[in-house]
Order: sequence, then C-alpha cells, then structure tokens
Amino acid sequence: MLAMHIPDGFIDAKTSLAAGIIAIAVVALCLRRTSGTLSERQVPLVGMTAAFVFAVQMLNFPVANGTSGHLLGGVLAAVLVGPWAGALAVTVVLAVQGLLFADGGLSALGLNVINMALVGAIVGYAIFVALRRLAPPATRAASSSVAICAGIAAGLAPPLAAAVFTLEYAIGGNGAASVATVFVSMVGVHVLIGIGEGVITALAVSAVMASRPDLVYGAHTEPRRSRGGLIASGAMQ
Amino acid sequence: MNDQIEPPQAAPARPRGRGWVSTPALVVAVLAVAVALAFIVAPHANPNPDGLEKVAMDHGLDSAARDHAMRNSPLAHYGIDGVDDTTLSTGLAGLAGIAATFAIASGAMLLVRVVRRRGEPAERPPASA
Repeated sequence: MLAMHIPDGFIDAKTSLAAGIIAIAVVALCLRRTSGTLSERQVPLVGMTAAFVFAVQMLNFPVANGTSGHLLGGVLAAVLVGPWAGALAVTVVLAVQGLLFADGGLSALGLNVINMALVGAIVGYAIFVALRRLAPPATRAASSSVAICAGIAAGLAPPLAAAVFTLEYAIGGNGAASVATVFVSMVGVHVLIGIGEGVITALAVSAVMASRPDLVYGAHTEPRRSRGGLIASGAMQ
Repeated sequence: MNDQIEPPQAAPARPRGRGWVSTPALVVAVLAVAVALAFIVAPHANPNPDGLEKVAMDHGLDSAARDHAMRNSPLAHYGIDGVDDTTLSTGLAGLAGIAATFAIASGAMLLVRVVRRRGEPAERPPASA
C-alpha cells in the first residue's frame, strides 16, 4: 500500500464539507500571498517541489509492527518554496492523488488539505521559523542549521497532523472508537513516522542547500511578513 | 517583528562554487531523482498499511468507509491498469503522477503571475496585509 490519505466516509459529510470550505479559504489565501512574491524562476521550482513530494509519498517505510509510514512533505515544500507556495504544492499533490490515483476520498479532500497543507506546510513552516530563531545566531547561516531546523519541524508535523485528524474525528468521526483511543494511537504511530519525515526532509533540504542555497526560501526569509523576503534575499539571481 | 532572523543579504547572490547548478538543471535533476525513486524504490515500498490505515483497521474507523469514486481510474492505487509487471506498473504510475503534479503546480503558479500582471503594475509591491 503506497501513500494513504483519509478516504470517504471516515468523517461525516457535514464535517467534510466544512473542512472543504476551510480548505478553499486556505488555497485562496495561499494564492493571494504567493502572487505577492512569486518570481518567474519560482514557477518551475513549485512544480518540482510538488512532483518530488508526490514521488516520495509513494515510498512507504516500515515504522512499527505491521505498520508503514510515508512523507507528508509539507515542511519540505514550505522550506523549499515558502509556506504559501508550499501549501499549494501539497494541495496539488493531494488533488492529483484523489482524482487519478484513488488515494484520499474526494469528499475528504478538504480534511486532507487541512492536515497536510495547512498544518503540514503552513503551521510546519511556523515551527521551522521558531526553531530558526532559537538557533544560535552565529550558526544560522550554515546549511546544516537550516537542514536541522527543517528536519525537526518536519518531525513534529506528522504527530501534529495526527492530532488535528483526531479533532476532525471528534467533531464528525463515523467510527465507534473513543476520541482518546484514536488520539493515542494516531499520535503514537505518527511520532514514529515523524522520525522518517524529519530525516528525509533534512537530507533533501541539505541536498538543495549544497548546490543552490540561494533558492531555498526558508534559508533566507525573516520569520513573518515573509512576502518581501525572497525579493530582498537576492534569491532571484 | 523585532526579533527577525537577520535578512538574507548574508547569502551570496551567486555562490557559484563547487556543486553550483543552474535553476533549470536543478529542476531537471530533482525530477530525474523523483522518477528514479518511482521506478526503483516505490515498487519495493513497505506493503504494510500506513499509520492512518492501521489505526483505522485496528479501531474500526473504517466502518463507514465508502469505495473511492475514482477506484476504476486506470491509475488507481499507484499502478497502471493492464500492466502486469509491478515495477513497470508502479514506475509508470509514478511517472504519470510526477508529470501531472509538475504541470499543474507550475501551471497554477504561471496563472498567478499572469493574473497579477494584469491586476497591477509589476513594479509596485502589493499592499501589505
């Protein structure tokens, strides 16, 4: 079984619909934010990021007895191209998986966008930025510092997404299991998946930092108000 | 925002040292890695259910799950309908997904740029939110 997202019917229709509306608002916000900073050069980079996240989501790795995990990819995308374009890249991946690969229910697309694009990319990027602030100033410019912060943020994203899934389950879950049971088992297994997510993200970010550090959005922008960041960074070069 | 990480000027604009590649070369290289992963690694991906699926099976979250509307898609479940060789089937499905995600994400970004260019002069920074 390669990548698997929330299918139809896990969460009731009302909650899925509400999630869909939130997801549309998130996409609209991302498009607005992206239009403020996007350079011509970033166009293929966003496509490249989406394609890479798609490919890596196919690579399930073993995590515990009889369970596998795969990359969510939100933090990786956000560190490479910024939180807004990164969330859009993840959303494109989820839409393609749902429409072409029968992975992730179409009615659950909004739920999956919330968990992997909003939480994974945007909240994950906020965690990355907070970690960058915590890093000793003298080391911040180092490639390894960027990769390590990305790796830790990426490691935290799956359990966070699992917690948000539990919230969605608490609001509209169709299963009989208690919310506490779902929380413990979802967060538990996603802590383990987070280890793989963190390692893969750190390696991928290092690889790009090694050849084109100027293109890595997260290496250059200030924590918030990031819209002018790339332009100011000379990353257009 | 008074405690921002120092601005990006720290990064050299053109660090053309060892390992430097042009942007198109980087994009092509990453896409090539993605395709290689789809053909070489994905067919051997761990077949066990993933985290969500395992929890769903163990605790009956899937009691009301419905069949996927796209279950008859020729690419359903990351394989090509009619291709029996697993490696080829998974690899080609991956290739299709890589092409589709690249095209749609790049296309969306191009569209964003076109819409912006129409909306306001490119020189003027957008009003801050």
